[in-house]
Amino acid sequence: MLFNSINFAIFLPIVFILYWFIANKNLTHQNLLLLLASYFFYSCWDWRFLLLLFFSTLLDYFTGIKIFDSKKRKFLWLWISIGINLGFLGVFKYYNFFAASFQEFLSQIGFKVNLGTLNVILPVGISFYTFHGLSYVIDLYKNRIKPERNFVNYSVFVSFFPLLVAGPIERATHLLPQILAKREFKYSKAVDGLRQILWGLFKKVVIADNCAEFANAIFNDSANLSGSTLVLGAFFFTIQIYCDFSGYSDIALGTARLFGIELLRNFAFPYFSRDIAEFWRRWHISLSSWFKDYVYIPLGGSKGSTWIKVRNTFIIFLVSGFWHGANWTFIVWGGLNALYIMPSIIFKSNRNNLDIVAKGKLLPTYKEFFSIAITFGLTVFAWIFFRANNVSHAVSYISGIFSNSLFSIPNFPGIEKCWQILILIMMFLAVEWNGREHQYAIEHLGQKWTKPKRWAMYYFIILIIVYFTGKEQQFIYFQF
Amino acid sequence: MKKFIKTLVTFTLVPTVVSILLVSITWFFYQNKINGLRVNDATTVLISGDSHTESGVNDSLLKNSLNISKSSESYIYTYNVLNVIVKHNHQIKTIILGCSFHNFSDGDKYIFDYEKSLDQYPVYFPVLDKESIGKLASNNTLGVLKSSIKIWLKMVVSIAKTSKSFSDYPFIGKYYKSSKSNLNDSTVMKAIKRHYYQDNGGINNFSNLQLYYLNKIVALCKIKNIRLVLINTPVSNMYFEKIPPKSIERYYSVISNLKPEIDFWDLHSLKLASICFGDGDHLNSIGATLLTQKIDSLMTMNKAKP
Repeated sequence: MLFNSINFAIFLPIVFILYWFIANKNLTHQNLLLLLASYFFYSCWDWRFLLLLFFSTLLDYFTGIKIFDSKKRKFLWLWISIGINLGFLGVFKYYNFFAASFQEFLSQIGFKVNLGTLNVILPVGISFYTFHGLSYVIDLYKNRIKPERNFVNYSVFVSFFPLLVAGPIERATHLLPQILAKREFKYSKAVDGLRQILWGLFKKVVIADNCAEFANAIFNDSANLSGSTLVLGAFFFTIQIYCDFSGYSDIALGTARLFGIELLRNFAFPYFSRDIAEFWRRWHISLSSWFKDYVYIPLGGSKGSTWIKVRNTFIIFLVSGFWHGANWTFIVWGGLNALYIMPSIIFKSNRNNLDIVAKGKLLPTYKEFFSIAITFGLTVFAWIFFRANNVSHAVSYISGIFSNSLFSIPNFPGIEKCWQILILIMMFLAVEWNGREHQYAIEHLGQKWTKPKRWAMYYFIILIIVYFTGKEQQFIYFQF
Repeated sequence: MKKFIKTLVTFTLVPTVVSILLVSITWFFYQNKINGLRVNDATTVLISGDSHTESGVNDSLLKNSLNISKSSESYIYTYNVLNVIVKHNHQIKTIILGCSFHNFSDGDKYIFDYEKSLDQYPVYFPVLDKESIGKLASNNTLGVLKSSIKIWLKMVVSIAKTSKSFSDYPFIGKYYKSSKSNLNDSTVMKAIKRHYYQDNGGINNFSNLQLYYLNKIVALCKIKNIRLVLINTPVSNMYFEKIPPKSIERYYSVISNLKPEIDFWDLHSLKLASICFGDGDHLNSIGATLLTQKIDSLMTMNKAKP
């Protein structure tokens, strides 16, 4: 069930009404309803994967209690949980990749073996709920939290439907206390939730889905297109992936808020970053902070020699790239970002831009503008690896860009339709820029206007959504 | 909570009421306009169908005829357009309807295809009967929703035009005169793939929806006492040879079931030189002239029948 589907438009109001009118008497009812709704939501993809989700939940619930209660075997229980969780992830997501890579390696040194491949579909959301569970057991091991002994409550923490399939990757320290307290309806929160859903939908179905058509057309025919067209394709994908994923996150956050639950923020206007370090503080925040807390800091973090910092940064980015998928393209993408960030790590300038760009001002300074443009350009370049089918495709794409046709007029089948989308993208970026000091772009837009004027703006956005909806595309991050 | 529900209902109600009002008023005026659709009194023969008849029959060469074919028109649309026309134009005695091999080859995917719907729904939606609207709305809800503004705008533009010529009615097509001659392997293969094969390489399913609406056209003609002629327009040998035999078999099976109710002119193998084809399965203006002459002679022969 996609967030931008009719099914979800029916599902959400039904759950909302049941939640606030039938199950609002006590916490148990609220959580039980959320759990049933979440399992139903998940089973709409493939009910068989419910068993896997259930097993993963049960495993972390059980090992979590054991870690807390056990005096001598904490470490053992922790590794049982980590081993089984990563084992499942490895089998479903990475087995074929490792088998193929190992086979290729052996054949290059003269051995021919057939390790076979697994013909399995990747269970939707497995990377997200696995990381959820891992954060829970690690936090327990580190004595940051106490175990949740009510299985329903713990299950809601793992499978709460707005975040189940593509995050944000929540922490027990943040989400569990909310699940353990009875939620009371708050008008302002609910309205804010709807507003964020509206903006998320706009980003997804208008900007991302339309960009996807052009990006797909260009990437799929990259060998026959001019350098300037390939640049345009990379630009479209850059906008697509941001609007697709941050649009999804907006809908997830807005939906959760309708049920009185606040989720972690996942995006903070990353394309207005002045350097790569700032970009990574603003892009997929819940994953970046997960890796920081559970991998980077345990490895020593930024303490120690420059070499240790460089090593840790590379590990983090490569692992993060690999988390996205079993393909060398993601690893190269991660490595490239590590290279980008390296100068600021070495020269200790990675925390230069912690504030919001041009805070309180209408426009950035020239220096800020050029910093943003350069960071954006580097990001666009890295996304080519992320989007390409394989590394050689990415390399040929990039060599196609740096050809004589780089300064020609872009041309590809369907280019006549792309101008209106470019105009929409410009309008969208203007709104995002205007709202960059808030949680999401339209959070405060029109708050001081009269109601009719503010509603007119919402109707206008709805009209644009209806009129410019692109061909329905799967959310990119569902495949991870 | 009460405040939230109240705000939400008001927020939804305002545009709903305004939209219903606007659409109702527009619908009313548009239906009035459709009711005023009059074909020339002398016109007794209608040529209807998709691009095959659109480019294949030159109505200026066929006495008392009018070609209203439109490219990519499926029978669900043809039925509704004919229904509107014959309702107020009792002089129509014959309908020549294009019926080629590809017509039963999964036309549904075009009717419910999201992209295609954005072009076609605004053109045809206002002439559809309740049943047809229901089929589109249930199978392609998003397509209907997205085209809704275009549908409304198209109606407004049509109402604003007061000349009452056929160009005011976007659902009515006309003979398309094409001088191109582009019969080659590439154009043939493109058409064959589009008409008969799925993206995964399998043969298209049979379109029950096309058959359903063809049967409705047959029934409509019977009620209105109109002679219905199904015409299989000429295709090049290059094209014909590549049609999956299964599709041809299914096609003739449908025709033989309909035969008692209709006339069938199978002209797919009409001997025409390559220069008569625009591509593998469409005639150009040279081919259209020859086909129209053939139709004319068939009609004369038919008149001579006792």
